[in-house]
Order: sequence, then C-alpha cells, then structure tokens
Amino acid sequence: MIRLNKCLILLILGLTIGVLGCKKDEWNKHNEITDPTIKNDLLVTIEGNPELSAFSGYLKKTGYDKVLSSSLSFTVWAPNNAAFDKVDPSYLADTAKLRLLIGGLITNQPHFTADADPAIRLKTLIGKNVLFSVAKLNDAAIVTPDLRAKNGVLHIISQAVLPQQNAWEFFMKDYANTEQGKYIEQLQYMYVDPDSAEQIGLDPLTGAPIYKPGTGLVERNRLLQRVNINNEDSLVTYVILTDAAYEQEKTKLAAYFQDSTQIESDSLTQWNIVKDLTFQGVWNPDELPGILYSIKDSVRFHITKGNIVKTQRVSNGIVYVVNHIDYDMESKIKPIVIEGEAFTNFMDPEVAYTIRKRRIPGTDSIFRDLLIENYGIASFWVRYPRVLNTVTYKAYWVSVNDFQTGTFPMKLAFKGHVDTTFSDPAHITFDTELPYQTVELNNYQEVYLGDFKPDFYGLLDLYLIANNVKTNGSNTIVLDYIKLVPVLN
Amino acid sequence: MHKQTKLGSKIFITAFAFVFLATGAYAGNRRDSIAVNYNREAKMTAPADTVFVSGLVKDAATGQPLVGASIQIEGYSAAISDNKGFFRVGVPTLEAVLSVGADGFQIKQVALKGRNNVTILLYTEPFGSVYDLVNLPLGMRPANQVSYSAVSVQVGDGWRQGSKASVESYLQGKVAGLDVKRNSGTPGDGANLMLRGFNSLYATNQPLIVVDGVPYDNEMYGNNLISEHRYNPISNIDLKDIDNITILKSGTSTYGTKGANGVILITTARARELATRIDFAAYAGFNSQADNLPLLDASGYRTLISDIMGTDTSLTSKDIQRMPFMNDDPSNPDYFRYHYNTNWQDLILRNSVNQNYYLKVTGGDNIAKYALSLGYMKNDGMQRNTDLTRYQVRFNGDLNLSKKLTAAINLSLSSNQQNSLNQGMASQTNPLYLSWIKPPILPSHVVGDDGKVSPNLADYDILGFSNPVSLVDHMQGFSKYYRFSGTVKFAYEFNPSLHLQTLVGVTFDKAQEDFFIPQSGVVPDTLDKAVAYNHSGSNLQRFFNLYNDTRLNYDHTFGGAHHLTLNLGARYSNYESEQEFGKGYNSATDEFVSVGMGVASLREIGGAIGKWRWMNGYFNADYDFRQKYFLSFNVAADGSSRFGTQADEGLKISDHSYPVMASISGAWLMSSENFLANAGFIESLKLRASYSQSGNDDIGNYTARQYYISQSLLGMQGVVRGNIGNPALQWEDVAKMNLGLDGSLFNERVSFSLDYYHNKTTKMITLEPINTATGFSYLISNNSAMQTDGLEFSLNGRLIGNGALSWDMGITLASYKNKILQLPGDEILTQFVDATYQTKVGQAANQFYGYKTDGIYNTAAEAAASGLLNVRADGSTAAFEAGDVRFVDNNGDGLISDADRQVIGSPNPKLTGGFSNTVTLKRWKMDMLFTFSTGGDLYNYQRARLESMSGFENQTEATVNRWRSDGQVTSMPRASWGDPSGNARFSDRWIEDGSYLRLRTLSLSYQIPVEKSALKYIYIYGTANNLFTFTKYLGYDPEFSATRSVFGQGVDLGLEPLGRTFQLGLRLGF
Repeated sequence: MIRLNKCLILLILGLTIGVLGCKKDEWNKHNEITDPTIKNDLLVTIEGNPELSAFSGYLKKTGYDKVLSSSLSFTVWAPNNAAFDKVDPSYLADTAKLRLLIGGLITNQPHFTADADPAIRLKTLIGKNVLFSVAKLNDAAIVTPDLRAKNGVLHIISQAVLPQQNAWEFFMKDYANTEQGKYIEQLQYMYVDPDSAEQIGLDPLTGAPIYKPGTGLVERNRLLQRVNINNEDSLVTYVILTDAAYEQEKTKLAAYFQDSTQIESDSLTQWNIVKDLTFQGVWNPDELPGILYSIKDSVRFHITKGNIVKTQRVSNGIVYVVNHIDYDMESKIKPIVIEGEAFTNFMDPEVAYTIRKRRIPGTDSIFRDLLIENYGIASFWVRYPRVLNTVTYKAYWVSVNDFQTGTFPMKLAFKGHVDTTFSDPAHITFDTELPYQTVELNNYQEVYLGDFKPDFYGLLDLYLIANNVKTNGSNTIVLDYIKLVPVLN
Repeated sequence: MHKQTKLGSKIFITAFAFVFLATGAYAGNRRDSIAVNYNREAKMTAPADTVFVSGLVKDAATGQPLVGASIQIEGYSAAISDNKGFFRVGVPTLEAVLSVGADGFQIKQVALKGRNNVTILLYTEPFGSVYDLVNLPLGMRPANQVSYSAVSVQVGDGWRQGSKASVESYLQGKVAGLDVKRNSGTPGDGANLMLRGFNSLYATNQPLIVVDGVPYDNEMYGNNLISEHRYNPISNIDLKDIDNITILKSGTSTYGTKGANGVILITTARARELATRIDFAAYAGFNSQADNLPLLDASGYRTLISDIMGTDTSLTSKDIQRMPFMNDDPSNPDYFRYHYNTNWQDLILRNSVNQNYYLKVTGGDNIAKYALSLGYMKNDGMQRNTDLTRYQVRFNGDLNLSKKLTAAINLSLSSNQQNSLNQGMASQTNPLYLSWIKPPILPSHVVGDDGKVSPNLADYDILGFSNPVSLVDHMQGFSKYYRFSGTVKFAYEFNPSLHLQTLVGVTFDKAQEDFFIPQSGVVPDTLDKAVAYNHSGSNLQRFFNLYNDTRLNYDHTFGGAHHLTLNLGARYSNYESEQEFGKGYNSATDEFVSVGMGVASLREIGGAIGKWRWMNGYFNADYDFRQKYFLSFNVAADGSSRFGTQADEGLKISDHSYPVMASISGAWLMSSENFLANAGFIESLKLRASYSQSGNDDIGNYTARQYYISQSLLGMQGVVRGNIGNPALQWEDVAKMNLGLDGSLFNERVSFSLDYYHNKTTKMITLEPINTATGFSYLISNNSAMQTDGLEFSLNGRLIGNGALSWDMGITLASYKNKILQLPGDEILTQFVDATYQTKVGQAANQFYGYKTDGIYNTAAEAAASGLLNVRADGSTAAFEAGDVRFVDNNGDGLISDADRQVIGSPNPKLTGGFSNTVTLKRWKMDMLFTFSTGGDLYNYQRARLESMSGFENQTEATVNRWRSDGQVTSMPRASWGDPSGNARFSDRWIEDGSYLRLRTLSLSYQIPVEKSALKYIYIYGTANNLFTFTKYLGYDPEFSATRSVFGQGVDLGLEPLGRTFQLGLRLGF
C-alpha cells in the first residue's frame, strides 16, 4: 500500500510538472515569429548573405557593425561584392573615406521601396541626403529590395554610392577660381558664435558673458545667409557662370548699380549677379521649364539646355555651369510701388492722418490710402525712403479725390537718404523735384508725373509734398500709391 | 433530553429509544425525528394483522454484518439488528418503507416492494447518498424524497481546503448548473455566481444566499474609490464553520420575488455532541507569482516604437532621432536614464505567503450546547503591499429552555483589513497595467547624468506613464470592513405535530476605505476646474438589516402511509444602506493623505442612502404517500417598497401590489414500486417535475417613484428631476419548469441526477430609450422577456470501496441556452470598456458584437484591390493600407463602418462543470477537483491593449511579427501611430476561446496515529490550488469576472490573476 502511495504521489507530481508549462506554450505559439527574416538583426542578415561579404567586412572595419546590431532601426543599402570591385581601391583603403562611404548608405528608420514612390530623400548617418526611389538609390540600381530584418530593412544595390558633394562644396572645390567664385570668396567673414564659444566668465558690471578668445569664431558667407546652398536638407538648382558669361552680366548690369566709387559699383553689380543664381528644387536639364524663378527675388530666368556647359548632380540638388544666362530685366530691376499708408514719417508728427479703406467703383476692388487734411501747414511732406537703381524712372500716382469738391495739387521730390531728423523740417532742400500736379476729382487711374533718375544706386528719400498753402481743402494730401517704373533698354 | 448525557455515546442508537420514550423531546432534525417516531410507535402495541419482514443489515464496504442497526417503519414499528445483523420487524403492509440506520453509518430508506426478506447494505458516513438529508427552506428531507431540484453539499472537507477557499469558490465545480466565476486573484475578492445561467439583463442574477435561515446580503452599497476593489461580504463566513450548503435550483417560490435566481442555503456548524471538543488548525502557504506576460524587452521595444513613430506624420526622422531614448551616445546626459531593461512586472508582482489559524470549541450539556470558533487569516496579495487580514468569531448556541421551548442563537462578527491597489480601467494609477505598458528602457529610480541610481523613485516619464513602483509603494488603498450578524430562533412545540418558530436576525455591516494617490511618480489628472496632482478619498458604506421569519409548522403521518407537512408563515425584512464619500485633491505634500488636507475648493463630497422593506407571507403543503408519491405546493405573496403603485400584476390591496408566486411539484419514487422489486441493481430511481413562479425585486429602491436630485448651477444650489418615475414598474417574473430524474444504482455505488429546465422571464426590466426632449435617455420599464433552457447532469460513483481503500469520483455537467423573446426595439447594444454586446430578440443575450476579420492585407495591391474604405469616428473615410487588418464588409457597401458589425462570439459558456476524485487509503486522503468551462468566448481586452501598436505603450512579444513590408506573411497588422485604420478596434482578433480545464484543488491529508491521550487526532494537510490550467486563452487567466452585470461578462480587464497557491496545514483535535 505504501508503494501505491508513492506511485500515486509520483504520478501527481509528474502530471503537475508536465503540464505547468502549458500556458507558456500557448503564448509561445502566439509569439512565434512567422517570418524567419525578422528573427535576425541587420548585421546578422548582412553577414549571412554571401553577396555582401565585402560590405560586411567594411562594416566591421568602420565600426558600423555595432550600429546595425543595436535596437535602433535602420535602412541599409548594401552594395554587392561586384559593386565594390568597381570602387577605387584607394578610396576603400582610406578608413575615413570608407566611413563616409558606409555611413552614407545607412539611414535611421526603416524605409521600404513601397514608401519610395514617389522618390524620397533620406538623411544618412553621415548627414548627407540620398534620393531613394523604387528602383534606385541616387543612381545606383537596387538589385534586391526590401529584405526585412529585425531592426530594419536591407536593400542590395549594384553600385557603391559614394558620398556626394553638395552644391556649395562642389562650387568651392571646382569653381573657386572663376570670377563668380572669387567674388563669393570676398563675401566670407568671421563671426563669433556665442553657442560654440567657450564662456569663461561674466562681466561683473554688465553681466554679459565673457568668451575665451579665439573660440566661437565661425566663418560665414553672406551668400549662404541669403540662399544656403550648403544646406543638405534643401534642394536647389544652382547656376555657375563661366567667366565670359560673368563678364557679360557685369557689363549688362553695371549701369543700374552705379555708386560713388568704381569698386563699390563693381561690388554692387556682382552681388546682384550672384544673389539670383539659385532656384528652388532640382531641375533636370531635360525638364527645365521656360521660366525659372530665382529664390528670394523671383527673377524670371530662361535657362536653356544649349547654354549649359556642364551639369553636376550634388547631394542637395543640381549645379549647372552655363556660358550665357538669360532673364527678364524687368524682373531684376523691378518697378517700385509705394503704398501711401506705408510712409516713414511726415513733416509734423502732431498732425492727424487717416488711412482710408475705399472701393474702386467699376471693379469693386478694395484699396487703402492715406489722407491728411485740414492741418493748416504749407508744403507739408510725407517721406518714403526706397532703394532705387541708377535708371530713369517714370513716376505715377493714384490719388483719389473723392472726399471734397475742390481739387488741390501735390508733387514728388527726391533727396539722398538721411537717417537723422531734420532741424527745420519746413525747409528741406530737395535734390530733384517734379512739378505740382492737380489731383482731379474721383480719378482712380494712375497719373503720370514725370521722369527722374537717381545719381547713385541706394536708398533715396521720396517725398510727397502738398500745396504750398495753409488753406484747408487746398493743401490736402491723399495717396493710394506711387509707382516708379524703370525705363530699361 | 436532559438525561442524554448519562448514556454512553457508542450505544446511543439503541438507547435513543428509551431517552425519547421518556422525554418525547423534539429535536428538530430528521435524523432524530426518525428515532422519535420510532419510539413513539414502539410504545404502541402492534396491530393484529401485522405482516412480518425479516432481513440482514451489512456494512457495504466490508460485507460484515452490522450489529445494533435500527430498523423502523415510521409511525408504526421498530427493531434492532442482532449480533449477526439479522432483524425481524412487523410492517403494516409489504408496500411499507423501512428506515434503517446505525451509528456511524448512513440512514437509509428501504422500500419493501412486496418483499418479506431484504438485505440492507449501509455505508459509513460521510457518503454522498440519496438518503442524505437535504436542508430545505422549511425543514429537512432525505434527498430521495425531494421533488424539486436541490443539491446538498456536505462541507466535510472544509478543513482540508486551507484558508484560500471561500464559500463561493468551494462550490466551484461541485454543483451542476452553478457556474462560479471567481472575480480575480485578489484575496477575498469573491465570485460571480450564476445558477442556471441568467434570468435578468439589468437586475441581479446572483442567487439568494440564506445563512441559518436569514437572507445574507451579499451586495455592495455604493462605489469604491479603489478601482475594481470589491467588498465581498460572504467571504466573512469561514468554510470551516459551515456544515452544509444546499443549492435550490427550483421551487424557490417561498422566497417570492427574491427567489428568481435560486437559493443557496448555508447552515453553519453547531455542536453535535455534548462532550467538549477542541480543534485547532494552523495553515501556512505560499502564493506563487503569476507568470509574467511575455512583453517586449528594451531592444524590442525601441525597435517597435521607432516603427510606430515613423508612421506619425508630425514627426520627422530627425525628431525621432532627437528623442532621448533613441540616443546611443553614452556621453549624452540622458543616455543612462533611457538605457535600462527593466522588467516592471517583477517589480510589482511577487511570491507571497498566506496564513490562517483557527480554533473551534464545541460542547455543552443537555441544557445548552455551543460551538465557538475563532479565526485569523492573513493573505498577501500577488502585488507588493497588498494583503487581506481577517479576524472572525462565530458563536452558535442551542438552548433547551423548557421541554417545549428551544432556542438557537447564531452570532458572528468579522473584521477585515485590506490593502489593495487600483486595478482595471484606471490606466494611470493601476500598477499592474502600468507594469505591462511602461517602457522597459526606463528605470524605476531616479538616475543621474553619470548613471548613478538614487534611492528616490523616478517620477512619471516623458512619454506620460506613471511609475508603477511608486504606486505600489505609496498609494494607499486601505479598507476596513466589519460585519456583525446575529440571529435568535425560538421554537415551541405545541404537540409532536405542531410547532411554532420565530427567528429574528440582525445584520450590521460597515465598510470604510481610505484612499490616496500620491503626486510623486504619477501622471497628474485633469479635473473640471484644476489639475489634480494627488488624490485623497474616504468612503464609508453601511448596511443594516432586521429580519424576522415566523411560521407555524404541522407535520404528521396518518396511518403510517400519508405524511403531510404544512407551513404557514411570514417574513419581514427592513433594509437600510448608506454611503458617504469625500474626495480631496492637491494636498501640500504626499505625506498629507487625508481628505481634509486637500485644497478646500476642490473637495467633493457625496453619498447615497437607501431604505427598503420586504415582507412575504407564505404557505407550504407537502404530502407523500408511502414515501413513494410526493406532492409539494408552495405559495407566497410579497410586498415590497420597491414596487410601483400601478403595477399590472399581483394581488391589489389598498393601492399596493402583492405578487403571488406559487409552485407545485411532484415526484414519483419509482424504485419503491413493486414492479422494480427484482431490479436489484436499482437502489433508487425518482422522477420529478416542478413548476414554480418566482420573481426578481432588484429593480432599484426608488425607480418606481419620481425623485429629485440636487444640482449646482454657478454656485446656486437647487433640485432637478432625477428620473422619470415609472409607477407601473414591478418585479420581474420568472417561471421555472423543471423535469428531473435522480437515480442510484448498484447499491449506491453509482448515483446520477439529470435535469432539464426551462426558465422564462417575463416583465423583464430594460432601459427603454425615450425621446431626448424629456432630458433623460431612458425609462426603466418591464417590457422584455427571455428564456433559458438547460440540461444538467451529475454522476457520482464509488469506484473502489473496500475498507482500506476507497475512490469516489464525481462529475457535474451543465449547459444552457438563452434566448431573448421580447425587447423594446428588438435589439439593444451595450458597451463595456471597448466591447460591444448585442442583445437581440431570437438570440442569446450579451453576444459580442464587433467586426469579423480575415487576416491582414499583406500587400498594397491587396489593400487596393479590396476597394474598402474605413469610416472613422468623425465620419471621414480612408482607404486601407497594406498591413491593415482585413475587416469583413458584412453588408457589402464598400465601407467598413458600424453597420458591418456582427456577432463574433458569446461569453456564455456552453458546458461547465467539475470532475472530482476523492481517494482514501487508510490514513491518507486525497481530493482532486478539476473544473472546466467550454465554449465561452472571452474578449482579451488586456491583449487588445498590448497588441494595438499605436502609441508608446510596451507591447507583447507577438508584435515582433508586425507587418513591415509588402508580401510579409503574418497575421499581426502594421504598427501605426494612433491606429488610424482602427486595426485594434473591437473585433474577433481579440475574441479568444475561454475554455479551460483546471486542477482547481489538490489536497492531501494524513492522519497521524496518536496514542490515546488528551490529543485525539492530528491531521496534516497539504493543499494546492489552481495547480495547472489547460487553456488556449492568452490572458492571465480564463476565469475572471470584472462585473456581475450580464453586460460585462467575458471582458478581461487584466485583473490580478488566480495564481497557484500551496498550503500546509496542521489540525489538532483535543
């Protein structure tokens, strides 16, 4: 009987142990990985692929193997062994370069080809962007796409994608010695960046930080501040002019940018050439549209394939070297419209003014204008400083006298810009004055006032001057806008 | 009876004759009354035309003849077996029934069936026999004479069960048709009891529990502050204090409108003998930590969330790399803080211990007998810093005040202290849930830039998850509850046939909660007027009940053949409940944990009060002829303060409606018929049928009336209508039809019981939608109906039964089918967390109603080819993408919208039951109980939240299989931020088969032999609970019940699971 007891107990114990794990089995079944490809991380997947033995070796050499076996997720475009055969061996021997090569083939986050239609730009671990489309990485064809791994995805490509220069790097490397390059070089300046400077203390009096001398100095370029073609994240089409074309442009534009000295005139002219040579987006030579608008100033360019001497793909777009450039001058030397209400100051700041909202009867469009009346001062002026080119301007205004029955005259005058206040605002000597012109009743049209040409390129004060009487109703000022239209050749 | 002590207990069967001859005392117990009647008749001279019957009485196990067994014909004659087991007794006719019994053996009714020579085999007690007495509401009867469906459970093994067993959990698997679903693994959490399915949608489905004649209120009054914390009053009764539990499945009319869901009658243990007996037991055990859910580790988590973040259109790749946890540079100051691999589950859960001490003293003299028990229990919870401590005392006394007047007293008091934590839906303050979703990359403690770990716990993280460790350590979820119940019963005997008894019971219950959620480590909550950094709360619930039951009882046997019992009585119950709570917010520091410390302007107070009364007049008539044909009739008329004054039904007396509930039943003990005299293998065979009406009064205390509630508007206090009173509101009617066959074969070696029942509920309460112009969304009315049909089967057998070794096996099976017959609008949809239930005419109630799925779209081409559009909550549509779940367009309109939902499962099990084994070998005894449930579906809400892949929550390991690119063969959809395609919506993805087979209890006991001394016996117990569970269900546990509502069954909120527990116990008897 005792034996039977033992048997019974053993049986129960055995049963118990045997089935304790039942619950776990259900979970194991549920959790079982159905797709064998996601069992391994990227590194193991790469190492397991004989086609990628070279890439796998370079991963180890560059230390990226540790990255790919981490739990962050990545996309890897692995060139196959045949692809590496075509790469310059010296490139592969240089570890620093190799790091750039390998790092330039890895991005964070998994990206499958299904996500790449239309093509997407992705930032690689070295900070360079690559263009990933369904069939290609930049120009390299994807041989085997979408190999899943535990922590990302692997695409096999047939060609090693070397890190590309961006537009700026390409320009500074290959075209620094062109006229355009030399000028842009002049735009470099040094700047103290408080963020990268090392702070060593605080000024006891002002509380301002004191930086360690020699730290935080950063070289900047004014061109890049205007259009940053060094930015990996924007996509640009950049145009480099051959020296001949550059000279041609200088000649063409010089007349409009005259200053007191030849050097200043020259510098101004060149700035106005180079500032407008960047276009948003990548425009392939075959896809160039009739009109390209430049970044910021929207100068209307007409770039034709025939003028392109050289085309270079860069990491942030495309660069063209052209021997001639064509654009609409009126989009470069633009007409100037001065809204009446956008004044800087006027003769007596105590005087009240009105900004009216008016409707043009025929078209029902709405405009605002400036109205100053019943202030009892003669030759009252309103000032509008503007940058003007050295070109003849035709002056127009729209001045709507719809508030009184009597008419009154106004005129325009110009004077070099002053920043200071006037000691005697009632008696200013103007450089140029256009004659008085009567403001007719209910005239919504532009009225031609006359021509004038500034002597120098730059800021000029434009004055709107009221009638030289103190009579209310006769010295009124009303202005919708003044328009200065350059007379171009 | 006062002379009883003078007699030796071992020969008391023979001595009973003289004792009762001399006293004629009534003991109120069938076993005794047999003796009583026998004695009374023995005094009479036998009639001249007596027929004599001779026979032999033997021990069924050993076959040895039994000496001194008593044989009698009720109301006629009696005899004692001689030293060879032979007897000869005079009978009025050969149709008569002999009652045979012996000390330590069962009492048995033997129908002569025309025979004049019988051999009778008796089993030693305890033995589940058809002759066992069943405790019925109005007295006791042998099981083979009961015409209703009733099951009696002798709680003889309560000592072997250890301290983990409570009344409800003990009944699990033991009674066919009683589906016991334990609420959770939290100590003392109770269970959802469903007897024969459910009879109501909105009213209670819990059976009425009657303890020692007094309805035991097992409800909670008011809401708890601790989320998913439940007070379960029935757990105050220690299993070791219970003698017998009877489950009355039909014939509950006597309880009127409280009997709809059946009745569980609990009888607590009383002193059985006059000698003083002391029993002491000590148990200690071990609760093992639940198996951790297989969740992602730090690296899996990081890969997953980088995928999820990749789908968030507002985040660029750079933004993602900038997240502190995506940084792998150790020189980064955040590096250490986000490069942990924390197993949060291990920080919350633990292995724990339980202990229980219990002392019982019984004894007395012929005037007074007493049973006194004292208990102490401490059970640590599965989560750290949770436990339940209980002290309890019970005193049961029996007094013979005079020859005619007896009294019985029951007093019990228990006190519980429990430390618990938020569970369930409190997503930011539920440590268990947080331990699953909290990113494993984070540390539990503050970590410096240099990686050094501070002893301070970390605050909530940048992803917006509270620190579960902080909650476990600093949350206060302390509750105290007390229950006192006292009853006194007087019984007066006018003559041996006529008795009057009255019982008065008082119950007082008080539950109090102290609650505090700290600021440290917990995400602040947003209130209407402020941001809540810490929360305090205090909650008090009281319950009071005064109960009286008075009845006149007549019991007489005419001419030895016609036995008539009549009862006429009335019950009265007065209930009072109240709740008061206060909530406070933003106390100055986490050390100030009381409501008064919170900001005054944010304090909230509230409460509820309830008063209701119930009275019940009842009449009962039971008749049997020659213990062969049985008829029973019960009728009761109820009055309740809850019923509306314009109720349709019921007896109208001065503006009040009194439902009249009647039941009638009959049974035919076929085995007592002569034509079965030669079928010796049939011990007993009884066919029974009953029809009973009962009702459900759980319709709300004030729902039938119009009431007002207070309302604050811009600081002005006023009252507004609180409801639309329905004066026609009445009880629910439940009519129960029952057909049954009870049998016992091969000299009781095999017994079975088969029941078919049909329950029909009419006048069922539903929430009827009404015009929104009323300002209310529904009206409570009696306008629906449903029915439940079921089959139950139980089988018990003694497979081996010789003196040294016995093996008893039992099986219970139950199955039911529910069908809605009538509903306003033919259909109702109800919501419980994310699950929707459909209840529709012609179908079973509470069916899971959601989307069917058919895998996922493996490729973009497949998704496009389907042409389906997903209709989002805001009405916009979007096409499905590759990796999305392929929802079935049920109505074929090309849109996946609410209209495509269909029944995707049913939480109602198809078959439930238990399988028990008891093996006794000399001094060893082993109990093994399996319980099972099949065919029920479960909504794994826990998994739905852990596989939705739509946020920063940690997920299960299965999410590694998520769809990543075209052509990937997997069933796990893609990870997507915010789940725009609704892949995690309520669908059959989360519906799992909840079938299980569980080794519920395995206990082993050994009686150490002791020399005769003061110490009478020593038992050693070893008990294991929930040892293993066969299930395909992936949640913690397929057995849980988040709510007692029908519309919440089968939804797994992820409560603490029922873990494996092991206990060792020692019992000393003096």
